[in-house]
Amino acid sequence: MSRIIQVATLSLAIASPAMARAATVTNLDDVDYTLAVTEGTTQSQVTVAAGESIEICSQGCFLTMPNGDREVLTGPEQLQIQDGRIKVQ
Amino acid sequence: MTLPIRPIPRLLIVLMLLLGGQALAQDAGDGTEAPATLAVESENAAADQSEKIAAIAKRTDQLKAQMELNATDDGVLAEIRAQLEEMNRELLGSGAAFRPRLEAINARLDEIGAAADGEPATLAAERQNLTTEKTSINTRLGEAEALSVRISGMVEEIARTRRELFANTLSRRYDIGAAINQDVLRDLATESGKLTSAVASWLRFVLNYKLPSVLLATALALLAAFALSFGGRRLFGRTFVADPETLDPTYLSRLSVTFWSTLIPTAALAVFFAATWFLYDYFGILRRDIDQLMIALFNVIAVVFFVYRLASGIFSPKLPAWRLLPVRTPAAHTLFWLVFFTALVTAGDFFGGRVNEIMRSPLSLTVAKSFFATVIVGLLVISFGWVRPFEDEEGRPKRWHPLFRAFVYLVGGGTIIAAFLGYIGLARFISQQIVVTGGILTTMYIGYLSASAISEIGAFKRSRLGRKLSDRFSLDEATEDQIGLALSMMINIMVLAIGLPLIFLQWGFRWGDISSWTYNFANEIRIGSISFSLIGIVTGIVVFMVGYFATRAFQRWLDGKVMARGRVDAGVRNSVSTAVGYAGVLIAGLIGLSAAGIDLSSFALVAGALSVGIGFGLQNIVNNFVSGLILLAERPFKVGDWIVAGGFEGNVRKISVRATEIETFQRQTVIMPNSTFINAALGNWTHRNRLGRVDIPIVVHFSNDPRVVHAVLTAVVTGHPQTLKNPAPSVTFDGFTDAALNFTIKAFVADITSTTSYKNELRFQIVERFKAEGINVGAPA
Repeated sequence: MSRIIQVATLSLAIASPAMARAATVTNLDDVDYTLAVTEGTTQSQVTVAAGESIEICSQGCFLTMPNGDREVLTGPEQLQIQDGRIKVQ
Repeated sequence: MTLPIRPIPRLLIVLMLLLGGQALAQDAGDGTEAPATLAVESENAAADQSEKIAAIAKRTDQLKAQMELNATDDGVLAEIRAQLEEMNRELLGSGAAFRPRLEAINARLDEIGAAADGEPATLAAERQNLTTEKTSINTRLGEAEALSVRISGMVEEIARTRRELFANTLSRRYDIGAAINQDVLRDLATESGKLTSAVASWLRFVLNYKLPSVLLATALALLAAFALSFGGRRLFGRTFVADPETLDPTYLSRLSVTFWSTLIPTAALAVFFAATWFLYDYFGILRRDIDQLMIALFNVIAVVFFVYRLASGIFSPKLPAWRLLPVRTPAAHTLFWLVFFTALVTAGDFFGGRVNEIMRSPLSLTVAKSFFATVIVGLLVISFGWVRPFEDEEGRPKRWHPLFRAFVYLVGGGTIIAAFLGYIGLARFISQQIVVTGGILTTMYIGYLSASAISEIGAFKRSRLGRKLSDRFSLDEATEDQIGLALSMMINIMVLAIGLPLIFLQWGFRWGDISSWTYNFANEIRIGSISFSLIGIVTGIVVFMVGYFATRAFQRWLDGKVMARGRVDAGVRNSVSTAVGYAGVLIAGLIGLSAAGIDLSSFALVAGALSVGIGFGLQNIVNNFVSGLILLAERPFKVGDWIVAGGFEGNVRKISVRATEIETFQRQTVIMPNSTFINAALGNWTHRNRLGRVDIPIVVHFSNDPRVVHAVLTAVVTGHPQTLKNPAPSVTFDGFTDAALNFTIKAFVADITSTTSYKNELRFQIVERFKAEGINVGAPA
């Protein structure tokens, strides 16, 4: 039985797991916001729906709000969007 | 010609630091934030950050130039990449440092409010200034973002270049014929001369100018190594050395001897080398080329020594009893020397390669050296497969397992073929991997074997550690077994946690990659739409265990301190204890489940469908369970009562939630499901008190005078001391048939549970009185 567990652990360790994202963004407003996220060399558009909370950026990234505000994340921060402004806890 | 192989010993030393380093690596930059909220201070901080970003941009350009210059040097590229990653982190930190200033600006802008008519000019001006400043900060952040993208791009480019270099090394084909000719020997002589003169010149320099430092450094390094070796011997004592006297050591002791006799000397040697290099470097004794030679030499010696100790532990040619593999003794000698020479030749080839690099030897010499080295290694490996190590039933030599043999032949043959075809890089790579990965895998396998050996029943108990523990803590057998199991699991986990990263590291992966993989893996595993986290599950289990033990402790305290002192009834104590126990376990389970963070909503659908069937099946059990709870609360009987239920009669011994144990007078234990007590009538002779009525039917012949019989019976029963006066006893004349008169004596006694002697005594006296009075029970003669 323990051999099975070890083989399973080994194979799971080798297989690439899902990316765990570390910083949390919570949208406290009633509208959706689309953020431009630059992580490493990739630039993507991430939408946070009203009242939704998502996780992004495990290793630091640059955020741009639709109104031009910029934010720099370095790791597991908690962010809140309120009245169109982004605030870090 | 270099290959991106990371030597083991450096890693062995750094292992301890790696665990701490992982924690730091995850901590991806924290506060470089300006502490003050005053506008001036954060403004200055913002200005500083702008400077920092500009400096980073300049360094990026410099590094880009270096990248292009060193596009074929893997080591330099690796260094540049490390620097770039550090700069990226600094950049992120700088960007984050603007945050307090931005927040201050935003707060002030909110205070001022939107532009309105008739407001003072200063307010409008302030708003204008703040808005301008905010825009400029945003611009700078935008620049920082672009710079970060550029840096990350360079990092990826370096990774690509290194991969290409590696692939090229493996696939590059050299012209063997051109390399191996008479010039080779002449080149060899020249290179040896150059090496000797380089070392000699350095030695002269050292002796003339740096002798005291050298002596001090060497002495300190030796001290450190001896301390480790001596300390290891003292701590582990006999687990270290194979005792020739022992005829049949347990597998566990063999394993531990091999493990410690490999680990501690190698660690001592590694410490000595590391300390020597570090101290020489610190005192400035090393010249750049000697530095590199020394590092290569030390790595090589450490690896060969490690393999030597490992092989002598596994094959143990001189002490057959201590062998880990059950091989024949002649085969053990052969195998040991084969393994040792393989490591020696490969290490020598590696060292020779570094020497060639540093001395800038001609390519032909390098190719020739590697050619001969890899062919020799290939032959050695094939010989290894050729050996017949085992004995079959008749005592004749038996070969290795065919799959293993095929694998060994493949690897050895592959090396030779690659070498002859000219793919020297590939051949070198294979032979180095044989030694390094082979060594790591073997060590991991030994660790796994020792874990299995410990987890065998009774093995831990017999080991020295087990005996020490059981003496200190006086444990029983079952606990020792469990400790053994837990230890073996821990060893397995450690083996994986140390061995796998080592293998990946020296295959060229970076520590950052490995640690981020592990972090991701432990944090969240996603299968389809179900995700769970290993860390969460472990947390849940731990929380549950804590809750469980807390409940037990609370139960014991409640029972022992509170209820015993309050002289509470035994039955009540039992009930309360059980109730508290179940409640506590339930709460602990719920908290543990929520700590594990398992989202069970997908299972809810299936569970709903099943619950109908389960509900029907578990009807009776749930019935019993609920009845048990009602019994606990209502307490129609307690432990020790004499009850009559479900056709059985006896004393209550134990009340559980599902069933109750009753002991009949024949000492049979009846386990009655609790629903019987709740759903049907239950008789309890001792519910409020032990008082009860004894009924004794008496039948006499019709010919007797009923009044006389009545008087006799009344006298007998009232005359007995145990008969209670209140309620008063009575004798009833129940009726008569053509041949019989039926009476019943109804007497109350204080203790209904022990009436046997009372009834016997009454009956004795009745018979005596009947005989004396001449009352006939049967027909008169």
